[in-house]
Amino acid sequence: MTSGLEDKIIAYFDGELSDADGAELLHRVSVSPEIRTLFREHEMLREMARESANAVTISPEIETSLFSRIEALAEKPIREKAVWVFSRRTALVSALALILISGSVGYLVPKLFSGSSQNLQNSRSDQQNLSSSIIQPTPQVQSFPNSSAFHTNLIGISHISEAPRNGTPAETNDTYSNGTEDISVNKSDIAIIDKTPLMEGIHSVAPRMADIHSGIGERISPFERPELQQDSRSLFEASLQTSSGFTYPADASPIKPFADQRFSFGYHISENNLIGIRIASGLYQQLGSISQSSLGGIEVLSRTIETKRNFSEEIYVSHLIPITIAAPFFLEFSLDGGIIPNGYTYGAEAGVRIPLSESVMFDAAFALTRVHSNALTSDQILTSTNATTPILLQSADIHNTLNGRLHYGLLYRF
Amino acid sequence: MKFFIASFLFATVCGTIGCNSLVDSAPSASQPVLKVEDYYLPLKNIGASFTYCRKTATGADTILMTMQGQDISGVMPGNGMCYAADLTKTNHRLYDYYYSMNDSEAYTLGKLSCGSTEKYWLDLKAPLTVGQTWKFSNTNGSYYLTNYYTAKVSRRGATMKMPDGTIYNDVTEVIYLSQSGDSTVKWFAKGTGLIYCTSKEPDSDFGQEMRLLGQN
Repeated sequence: MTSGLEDKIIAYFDGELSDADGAELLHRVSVSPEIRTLFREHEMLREMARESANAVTISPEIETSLFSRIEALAEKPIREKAVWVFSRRTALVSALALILISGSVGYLVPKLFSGSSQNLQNSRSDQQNLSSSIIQPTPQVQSFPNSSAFHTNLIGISHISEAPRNGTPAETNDTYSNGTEDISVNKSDIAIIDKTPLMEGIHSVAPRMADIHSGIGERISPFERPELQQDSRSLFEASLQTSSGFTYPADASPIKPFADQRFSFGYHISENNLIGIRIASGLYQQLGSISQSSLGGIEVLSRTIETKRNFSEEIYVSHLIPITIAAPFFLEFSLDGGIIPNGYTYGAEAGVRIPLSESVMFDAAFALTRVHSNALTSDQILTSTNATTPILLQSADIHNTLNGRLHYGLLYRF
Repeated sequence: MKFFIASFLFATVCGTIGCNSLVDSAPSASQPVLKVEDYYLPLKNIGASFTYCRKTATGADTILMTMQGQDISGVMPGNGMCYAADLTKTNHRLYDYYYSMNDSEAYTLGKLSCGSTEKYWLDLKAPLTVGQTWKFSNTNGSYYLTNYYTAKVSRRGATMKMPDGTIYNDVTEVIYLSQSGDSTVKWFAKGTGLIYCTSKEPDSDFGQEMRLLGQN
């Protein structure tokens, strides 16, 4: 009797029980403590299987093998256009390549954009070549329910092991579902998959899609295509950038690549508008201290302009414009202002954000910043100095400079 | 979004077009001066007068220097034109003093005439830039001794404040050293000329100190 009851409970969770049988089962559960206990045990067992499945990852090799077999079975080898998401390794390599290229072009802005464009194309090529790390989009998944062979083999796999694929969008996760549970696959399991034997003894089930709550597909990446993008839950972002550029008017050589560093922390007021704070260690052209000497009976005051490394604290607002040209990316426009020791800055910048993975982007922007120094002017120095002999002041007297910087680095959104 | 982009474009346009108003100009000292006339006395400006305070070993006096324009002697060596200035000491005319100047050189000839230089002194030589040097020699009126001088531009683009509070901008400082131990320093202001001079030469016509008091 217990075995028959358990079969009914299993059938109920599998969605195979008719409404009348289901109602009867629930009635028995409500009146019998023993049956209720058995029902809850099965319920807990299902829950545990589902939770344990979330911790499982699938290596790219297994994933490739699985996809190749699925395509063969489904007789639909054509893959749809891939979503702009890389594997971690590809993302890391792409990011380093972009940073190195940006650093090498330095402050030559025209070359920056051509370089970014080239990187974009290269990244696109890498994406297509590394198909093992690419997640299949929705259209392919939607074709599966029409294939009975595909269904039956998936069910066969589910009987071998119960560990679903982790870290995939909801649509892909559904592909591995037998109706109520996620399915896991390991290498040994794949090895025994065979088309003919699995076709036998397979019975079709009515999936209960509404009961599946993997939690993976609920989160939509802000880095996906704009048309797929909805409101993101990633409200914060942090970026680390380095830069090179120039200072006008300059007394020193151009700022070399990787000379400045800045860390930014932003909050998304809305999906495409954000406000943030920034701490930067940069090279600023500022007036030095005054030295005093005498020559030919006169007093000589000297002050030179120096390129100093200082910390700055800034606030900024940015607006993002999502654009898809062959691949999705963002245009970024920002206004910022801040303080430096004995001075202040304000400026504007424009750049581009290129998604490398779900949460990581390459961020490059060209910034023009006016830097003001509060140091005394030459007139102020001379006015405040009195002597019976002439006073000679040698000072550049530059208080306002324009910094042009090409910032480039990585951005993480969370 | 439109407001944001408009603001960004406005800031960028202002930053680009109004670059000179946003930032300070580059130091003038970094640009060499090819025409020394701008830093020398207005010799061509007939009637222009300068008042100097002169200190010598015997005391201090006030000299009024009035430009007489081009001298009748005409062209000097090096296509330099000879100019004369009248020196007056408080209702007492001293003598004419002669100078020569072209675009690249400006020098003192002395108080004899354009054709007879006993105190040749090469004040300025183009290009005027910090570190620029030139050499000259004179007899300083002696029949037996020749002094060799080396001049060097030690500062450019400086600002000088006189004890009376007058401030001169874009000042060039030149140091003249001789093997005999003379050390003369002169300061020339752009648009004015000689504003200050100190010398260890006891026989200098301008004494040990000469300071511009005013000009008309």
